[in-house]
Amino acid sequence: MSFSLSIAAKATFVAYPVLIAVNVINDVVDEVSIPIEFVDEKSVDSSDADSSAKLVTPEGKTYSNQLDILNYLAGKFPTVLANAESSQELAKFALEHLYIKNFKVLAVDLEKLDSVLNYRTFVNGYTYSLADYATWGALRANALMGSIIKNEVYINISRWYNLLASDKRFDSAVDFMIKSVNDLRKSAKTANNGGKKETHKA
Amino acid sequence: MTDFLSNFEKLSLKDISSIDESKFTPLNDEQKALSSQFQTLSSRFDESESLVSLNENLKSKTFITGTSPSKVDFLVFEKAFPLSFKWTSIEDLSKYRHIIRWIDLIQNKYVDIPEADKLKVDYEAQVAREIKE
Repeated sequence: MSFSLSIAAKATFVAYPVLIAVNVINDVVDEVSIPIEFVDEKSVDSSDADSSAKLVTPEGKTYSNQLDILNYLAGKFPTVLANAESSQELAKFALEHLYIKNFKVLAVDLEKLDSVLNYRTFVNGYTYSLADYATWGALRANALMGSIIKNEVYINISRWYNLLASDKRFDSAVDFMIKSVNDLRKSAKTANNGGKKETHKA
Repeated sequence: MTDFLSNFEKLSLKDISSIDESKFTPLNDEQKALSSQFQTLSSRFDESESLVSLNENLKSKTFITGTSPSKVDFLVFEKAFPLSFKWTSIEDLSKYRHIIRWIDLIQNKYVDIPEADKLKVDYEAQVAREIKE
């Protein structure tokens, strides 16, 4: 058995935390390369409409909850996802509260996150913690956040968000997904035309 | 950039003034200007406006020149660190919050300081949220 990660590209809340963590693992850990498969659906599992990601491990286990996946990865790759134990509460908070698109509700929780970052450079500790991936990924997936970050509505959140964004591996994971999904859609279109239509390749 | 963040070997406080500049990511012109500005300001930390200006700069930047550490962070740290022990009132904790955050990162990640000599940071200090003006 080997690793495989599936991500639902049309999920209401795309599993960026897991996608980014795996992208960094693939970059940092020489002996591991976890293949990432994108599914152009709302869920990776036809029997569960809310399943945004699925990780199959070499041990033959399957995880489909983002926090479970992050915890498994932190156990295997503690240098990439640090401080897992002390990250649980914040990670749960991020995954449950920061994906929300109702600004009135979100604003209260962003204020909490902003105060967490008053005296902290990272969300938990002095390097990328499990909670940093959970939080950054959730905010990156939240369409409301772009202008909020840019306008420094929450000063500490913007500083921290931009620090992680300056690490190319964070946004490149997102770009990789967008490109892969575009390719998927093109080849699906070709298949629908009986394979007659040539795809344009630059 | 990130490799630098993770692979940095901790410096001893006494070696700060002799750090080799080539260990750091090269600075662009804007960063060079920030670097010399804050190096100059750090000799005037007896004037509170110098500290206020450092705090303001660290509001939106993780390090003095941006998202990576540079030599000026260590030079200014050497001057600001002893002063930070005086910031115990909630007023000062609020006023210098970004310097405190930056000191805490440097003292734990980049400079080798014995636990007992570190600045004790109260991460939960109840300071009011700052709003961009």
